[in-house]
Amino acid sequence: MWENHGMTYEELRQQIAEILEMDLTELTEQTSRDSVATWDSMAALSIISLLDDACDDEITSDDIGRFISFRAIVEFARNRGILKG
Amino acid sequence: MHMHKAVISALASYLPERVLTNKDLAAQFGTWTAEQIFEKTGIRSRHRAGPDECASDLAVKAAQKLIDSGRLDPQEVDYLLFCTQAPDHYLPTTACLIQDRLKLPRSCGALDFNLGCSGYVYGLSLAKGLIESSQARCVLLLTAETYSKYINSKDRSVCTVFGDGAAATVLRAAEGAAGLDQFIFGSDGRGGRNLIVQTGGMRCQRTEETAQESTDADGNVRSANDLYMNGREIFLFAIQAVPVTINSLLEKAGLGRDDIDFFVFHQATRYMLDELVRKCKLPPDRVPYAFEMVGNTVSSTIPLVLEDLILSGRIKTGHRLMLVGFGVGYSWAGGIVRW
Repeated sequence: MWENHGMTYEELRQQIAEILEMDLTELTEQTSRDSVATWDSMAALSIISLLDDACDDEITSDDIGRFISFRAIVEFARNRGILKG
Repeated sequence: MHMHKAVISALASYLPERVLTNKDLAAQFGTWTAEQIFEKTGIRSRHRAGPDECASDLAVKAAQKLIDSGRLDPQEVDYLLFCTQAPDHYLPTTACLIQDRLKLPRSCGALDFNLGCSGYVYGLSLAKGLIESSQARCVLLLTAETYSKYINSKDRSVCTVFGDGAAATVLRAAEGAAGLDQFIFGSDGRGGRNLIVQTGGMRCQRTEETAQESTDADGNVRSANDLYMNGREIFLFAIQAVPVTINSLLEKAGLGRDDIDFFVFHQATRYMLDELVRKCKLPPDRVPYAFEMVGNTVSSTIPLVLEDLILSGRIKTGHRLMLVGFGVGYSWAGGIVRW
């Protein structure tokens, strides 16, 4: 199932950069909600939506509370089998 | 036994005169321009009740429109349902006061029910129960909300989204294919804390301490006496609950997506609606929006869309609609209506 939704690390990075309206070269695992002005309430919803689409099981309140940095998003994607390769 | 169905036979809305525009909000907050507020929310303006204007006043004016235009004879109403989260008093029941103001018969049943964004669909289902069990022939369903009275004007997260408004819907017993068909419901109190006015009820009464304001991480100012909404949690709830509701209701009704002419959703925000359309793979032309000039009017969003469909002539006899309300509680419900 998840193979249909999964994405590579680079695909995830690209999609998050698009949501945050950032140049891809600027997005690193250090990028966080506090360090990027475009990571606003609307961007937070887009990130939830992206990961909810990609995740086979339901994402929870606890999960969304952790989406505060790109590193945390990558970790979530890895733990939930979203990342391919 | 003679079978009859509950049908929506008339509908009207009322919006208070005062209007809060994006220009007003931009001047107040100074962070986004009026156009940016529109781009983010899809809303250009929202109505605000006056200081002495209650939800019941808006509801009475919506009902009065039906009476004045000859679409409702007050004497025929034998049940009044009033949906609000802003009643006039703790007691008496606001619906009883409305019975007197609208000069409905004293033989009329009247009750309030406290629901938000799911309230209209619950109201239709209650009316169906009353009519199809022959307890009533004509039900007046009033939905009215004045969230503005709970909103801290320095809280951008809710100030921009919610608008005050009311709708009056008449349901009558009729024969034929038209009418209210299947309904499904859902409740999950675990989400109660995510859209809440903490104080003012018996659990937590208002004190000087509860009136103390604080500023959250996004710069929004509110106290425990004000409306609080955790937008991320509400969004997560909606994108998970609504698709399941749509599928379960279609299954219960033995219908496919193509059998539905209009999917009428609670008008939460434009982004939420866009996401639901995308996630549920619905044809956008069958998902009407009506919030640009009114915002999220809580329990009246769905009847405002219906009124828009009626006035624009888009809705025709024989059309099948799916109505889905979802939000505060958490509470949600879906219903199929044959026009």
